[in-house]
Amino acid sequence: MKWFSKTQQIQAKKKQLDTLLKKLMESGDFVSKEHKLKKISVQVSFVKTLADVEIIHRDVIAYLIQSEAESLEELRESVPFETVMITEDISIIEENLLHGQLLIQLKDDPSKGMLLDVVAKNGRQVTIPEVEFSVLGPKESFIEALDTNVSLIRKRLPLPNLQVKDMVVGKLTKTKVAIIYVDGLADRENINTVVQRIEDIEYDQIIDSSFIVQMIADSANSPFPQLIDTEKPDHVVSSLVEGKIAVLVDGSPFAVMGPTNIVEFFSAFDDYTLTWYIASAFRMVRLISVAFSVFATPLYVAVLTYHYQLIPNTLMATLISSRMGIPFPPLVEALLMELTIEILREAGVRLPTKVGQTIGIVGGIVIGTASVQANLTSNVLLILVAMAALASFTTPNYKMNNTIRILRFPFILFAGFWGMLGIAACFSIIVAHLLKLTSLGRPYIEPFVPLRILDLKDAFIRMPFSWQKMRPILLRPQDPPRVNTRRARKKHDIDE
Amino acid sequence: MLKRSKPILYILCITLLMFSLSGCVRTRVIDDIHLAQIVGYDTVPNDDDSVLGTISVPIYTQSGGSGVLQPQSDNMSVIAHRGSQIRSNLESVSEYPLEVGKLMTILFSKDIAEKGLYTYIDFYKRNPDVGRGIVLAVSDGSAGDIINGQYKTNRLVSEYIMNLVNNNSRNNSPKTNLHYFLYSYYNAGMDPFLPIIKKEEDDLKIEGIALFKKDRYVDMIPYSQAFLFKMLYQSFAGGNFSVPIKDKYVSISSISSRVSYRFKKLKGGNQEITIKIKQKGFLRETERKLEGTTTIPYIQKAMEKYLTKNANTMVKHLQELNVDSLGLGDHIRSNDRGWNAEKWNEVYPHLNIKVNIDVELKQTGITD
Amino acid sequence: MPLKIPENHQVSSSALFFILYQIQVGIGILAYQRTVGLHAEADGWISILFCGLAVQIVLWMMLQLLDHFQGDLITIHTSLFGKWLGTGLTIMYIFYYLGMALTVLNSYVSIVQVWMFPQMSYWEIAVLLLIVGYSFISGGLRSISGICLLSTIYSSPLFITLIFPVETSGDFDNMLPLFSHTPEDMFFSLKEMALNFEGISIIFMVYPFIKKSKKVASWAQYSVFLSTFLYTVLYIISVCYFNTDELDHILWPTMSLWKIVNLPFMERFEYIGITIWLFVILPNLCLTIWGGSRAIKRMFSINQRKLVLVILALLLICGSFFNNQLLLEKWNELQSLFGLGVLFGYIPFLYFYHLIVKKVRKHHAKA
Repeated sequence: MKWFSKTQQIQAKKKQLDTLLKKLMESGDFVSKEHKLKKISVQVSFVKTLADVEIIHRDVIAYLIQSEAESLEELRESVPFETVMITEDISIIEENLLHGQLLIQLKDDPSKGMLLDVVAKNGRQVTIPEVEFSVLGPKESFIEALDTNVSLIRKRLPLPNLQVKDMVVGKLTKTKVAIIYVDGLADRENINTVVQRIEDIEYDQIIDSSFIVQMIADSANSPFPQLIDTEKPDHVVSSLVEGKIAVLVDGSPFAVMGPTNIVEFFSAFDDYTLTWYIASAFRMVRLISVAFSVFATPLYVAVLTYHYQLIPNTLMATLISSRMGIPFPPLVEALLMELTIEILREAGVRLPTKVGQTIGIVGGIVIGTASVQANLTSNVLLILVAMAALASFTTPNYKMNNTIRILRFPFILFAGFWGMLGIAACFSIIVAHLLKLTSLGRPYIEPFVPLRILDLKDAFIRMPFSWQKMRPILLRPQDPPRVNTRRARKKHDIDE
Repeated sequence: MLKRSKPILYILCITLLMFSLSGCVRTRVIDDIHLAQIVGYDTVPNDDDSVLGTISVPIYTQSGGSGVLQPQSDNMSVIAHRGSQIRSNLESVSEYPLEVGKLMTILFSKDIAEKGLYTYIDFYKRNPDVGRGIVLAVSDGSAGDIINGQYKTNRLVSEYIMNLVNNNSRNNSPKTNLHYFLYSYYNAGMDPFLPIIKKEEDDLKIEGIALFKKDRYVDMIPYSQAFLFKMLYQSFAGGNFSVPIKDKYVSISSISSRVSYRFKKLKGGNQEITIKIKQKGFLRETERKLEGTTTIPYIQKAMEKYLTKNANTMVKHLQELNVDSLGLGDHIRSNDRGWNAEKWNEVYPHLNIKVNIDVELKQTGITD
Repeated sequence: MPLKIPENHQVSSSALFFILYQIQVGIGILAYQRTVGLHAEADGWISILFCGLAVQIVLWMMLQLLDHFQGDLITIHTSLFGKWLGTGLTIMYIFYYLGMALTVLNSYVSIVQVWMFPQMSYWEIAVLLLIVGYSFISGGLRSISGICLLSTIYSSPLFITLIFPVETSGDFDNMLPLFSHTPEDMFFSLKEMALNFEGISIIFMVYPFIKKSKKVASWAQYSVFLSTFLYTVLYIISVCYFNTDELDHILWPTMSLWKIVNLPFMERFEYIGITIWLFVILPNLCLTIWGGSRAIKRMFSINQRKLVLVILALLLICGSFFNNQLLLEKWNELQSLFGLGVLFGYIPFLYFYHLIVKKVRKHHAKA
C-alpha cells in the first residue's frame, strides 16, 4: 500500500516535470539532451541563453562522462561544484532552471533533479555613479546583479552580524529581494515592518527597487519620498552602521533604505568628506537653494500682484520697466515660464546626453531671450525662474529633486489667488502633511518635530565627528553609542 | 493609524474651490497702477473751502533689455472741496488706479499749514498702505509749483525732496518724517516741526525749520540757526556750523553733541530748566591764524559765548510763540509726577530756561 | 480612574511648553498695548508682570488638580460634581474653548481685511483658514503640537525685527516716571491683560496626552514665564516708540511697529508680519477647536473627525455674523469678561473646592 502510493507520487511528479520540460521545449533557447555515463544515462537540461555554455562543457559534461556514479547523490561528488541541490520540489526546479541553472535527471528516475549553478555572469561591470555624484569619496556604484551588489556591501562591512534576508516578490517576475541589516544594531521592530510589508506585496512585476519603495512606503500618495534610495554602496554601508535597513532588488542598481527623515534627502556624501564647518556651509547653501527654488517664483507673483508696498523704491523702477507691456498677469506669466523650464528639463532627460545638452543651451538661451524681446515675459522673472531651476538641482536626491520641482506649482497658484497669505496657507498645508508623514512608522521631520536636540547634530549643520558619538534616536538603534564614550578626552595645555 | 493624506490633490481641490469664491478685482499688479510718489496741497485763491491737490506719478518706459530708463513723471492737479475729496477727484484724471503705498513725500504750502494739517494727515495715518517713514515738508510758495518744476538733477521731484530732507536730517537739521510728526503731535508735552522747502531757479533748498503749535504752522527758524536748534533738541553726531568771532569766521565739524535737561523746582512753585550741551568738534576752516596754545581755548570760549547767546534768544522766541518744539514738557513729565498737560501750556511761556553750552575742539586737522 | 492615552498619541513634556506658549502668544499680541495702556499707560508693564505672576499661580492650581485626578477636565468635573452637574460645567467650558476659536478666527480675518485685502470676503479668508486648520486637527494632538513647535520657530525672527523701532527712535524716557499710576489703574490694565493668557486653560484637555515626567510642571511654568517676558518687552518697546498718548490712537501697535522695518530688498515689514502671523494663530485655532471637540468626544463618544468638521462649519457661520468691527469688539469684551471669570474665578474655586472635597472624603474614609 505504502509502496504503491509512493510510486504513484513519483509517477505524478514525473508527469509534472515532463509537462514543465515539454512546455520549455517549445521555447527555442531551451536545451535538453541525454548523456550516457559509464553506468547510467542522464538527461541534462538548461536554458542556453541564461547558462554559461562554456562552464557546462568544461566543468560539467567533462566530469559527467567519466563518472561512475549510479545515483544523483553519487553524481554530486563527481562534479566540481560546492553548492549542488538535489530536490524533488517542482517549483524550486522550475525557478532555478529559469534563472539559468543546469538540471540533471536520471533517465531512470526523472522525478528527482540535481541543480548546478552555471549561470552566466552577464551584465555590466561596476562603474562610477551617474546620479549621485560626489567629488571626493568612493566611486563605485551598484549594478543590476544582486550578488555583486551584496558583495559590494559585504566587502565594506566584514561583519558576522551583517544579515542578508532573501525574499522573492512579483508573481511573474519572481524578483529576488535582499533585506540587509546589521543584527544587534537595527531595531527589531523596523526589521519586522520591512519584512512584513515586502511579504505583503502583491503585484505581477517588480522591475526596479522604486516599485518596492512605492509599495512599502507609509503613505503612497505623498509627494515626498519616505525611503531614501542610493546607488552608492558606501552610502548603504554608513546607513547600515547607523542602524538602518537596506533593501536590494535584483535587477536594480538602486538600494532602498529606511527609516529616514527629511533632512537626509538634503545631505550629500561630500558633507562628510570636508571639514565640518565647510561642509555645513555647503549644506546651508543647499537648503537655501531649496527654499529659493520653491518660494522665488511664488513670491514674485504674490508681491507683484498684491503687495507692491514691499518693493523698495530703488527696485521698483527695475521691476516695473521690465514688466512694461507684458500682456499677462504675473500668475500666467510665471506659470508659462515655469512650464517652459519643465519642458526643457524633461526634454533634456529623455534625449541622449549629447543632444540633451544642446537642447538645454539652445532652449534656455534662445527661448529666454526671444520671450523677453517679444514682451512675453519680464527679464526679472526669467532670472528668477532660471535660478530656481538651477537651485533645485542642488538637492542630491533625485526623488526629492522632483518633489521640489512639482511643489512649486501649487505655491504659484496660491500666490496668484491670495498673495502672501496664500503662500503661507499652502506652506501650512504641506507642513500639516509632513507632520503626519512617517517613514517605516518613524516621524518624517524628526529632529524638528518631535524635537530631538541630539539628532540635530546632523541636520542643518553637520557637526564634527567627535560630536557624532551616538547613533540617531530616530532609528531606535539597539546599541546607541558609536564609540566608547566613556574614554575621557585628553587635556591639552600649551606646550604639553 | 493616521489617514493617508494627499496634499497635492488636497491643494488642487482647495484651489479650484476657492477659484469660484475669489474674484480678481483686488489685484494691484505693479504695472497696472499709478504709484503716487509726492502729493502737494495748496490753497485756492479766493476760495477758502477748496484745496488744490497735485500729485506726481512716475511713468516708466519699457526697458527692452537695455537697462532701466529714467522714468518721466506725470503730474496731475485737481481742485477739491476738501482735502478728503482729493483722492476721488484725482481718480477722474488718472489713467490707472492711484495707489499711495509708495508715497515718499507730502508737501503742504504755508497757507495750508497755517490752517492746520490734521485733516490732511488723517488720511495718511489711517491708511495701512502708507509707511511711517514718509517725508513731510512745508513749501514756501506753492507746493504745486515745486512738484511741477524742472530741476537740474535728473531725478524725480519726489526722490529729490526726500533725499534733500533726509540728507539734511543726518547733518544740520533734526530728523523729521510722518512718525516724528505724529509722535510729537499726540504727545501733550511736545510740538512738531517740519522742514521748509523753497524753490530757487532750478534748485530746491531747505529754508529752515517750520514750527508748529500742534498741527498749525506758527513760525520758522532760518536754516543758519537749524544746527543750534538741533543741538538743543537732541544728542547727535555729525554736521557743520560756523561761528563769527570778531568778524572772522571759524568753521567747526561736529563729532558729537550731547544734550541734557536739568529740571528744578524753585521756591514759590516756579520751575527752572537748564539745558546743558556738550559739543565736541574739530576745526575745519578758519580765517584766523592759530598762534601758540592760546588760540584754541580762546576760540572755544568765544564760541560758547556766541552759541549760548543765540540759544537763549531762540528759546525765548519759542516761549514767546508758546511752541514747545524742543519737547521740554515731555522731559519734565518724565521727571515730575505732578506734571499735567493743561497746566504746562500756561506755565511754559513763563518758564525760566537756561542754556549752558560747552564747546571742546578735539583737533585742528592735519596742519596747524 | 486615571485616563490612559496610548503612547503613540502622546507627546513629550517639552511639547507642553510650546503648546502653552503658542496659545498665550496669539492674536492678542498684535493689539494688546492699546487696551493695556488705556489705564496704566507707561506703567502697563508692571500690570503685565503681575498678570503673569497671577497666571503662574492659576497654572500651578491647574497642575495640582490635574496631577491629583490624573485625567482631563471631564475627569475633574465628574469626580467633583457628579455626572450631571459635571457635564453641564464641561459644556460651558466647551463653549468657552470654541468662543476663543471664534475670537481668533474673526480677529485674523479682520486684520487681513484691513491690512491686506480690503475687498476679500469674509468667507474666502475664513474657509482658507479653517481648511488649513483642519489639516492640522485631523492629525491629532501630535500634529498640533508639531505646529506649535514650528510656529514658535517661525515667529521668533519677527521679534528680532523689533530692534528696528528701538534703534531708530525709541525714547526710554517715555517709561518715566515709574510707578506714577494708582493701583486701580494698574488693576484695570491687569484685567485687560488677562485676556491674552486665557488660552492657558487648554491644559485641562492636553494634560493626559503629555508623557509623564517630573518636568511637566516646570515646562508649563516656563511657557508662562517666556510669554510674560515677551509681552513686557514688546510693551516697553511700543511705549518707547509711540509714547502713551499716541498709543491710544493706534489699533494694532505691533503691526505699526513693523512699518518702519526697512531692509535693502524689502520695505514695510508688516505684510510679512501678517503672513507669518498665520502660523502663530493656527496653533490657537487648532488647539481650541481640538480641545472643544475632544471634550465633546469624551462625554458623548462621537467620532471626532466628523465632530471637528461640524464645529468648523458652525464657526464659519457664526463668524460671519461677527464680521463687523463694532460687533467684534462687543464679542471680544464678552469673551474677555468670561475668560477673566474662568481664569481668576472659576479655576481657583475649582481648586479650593477640590481641597475641601478631599478633606471631607478623607474624613469619611477614616470614619
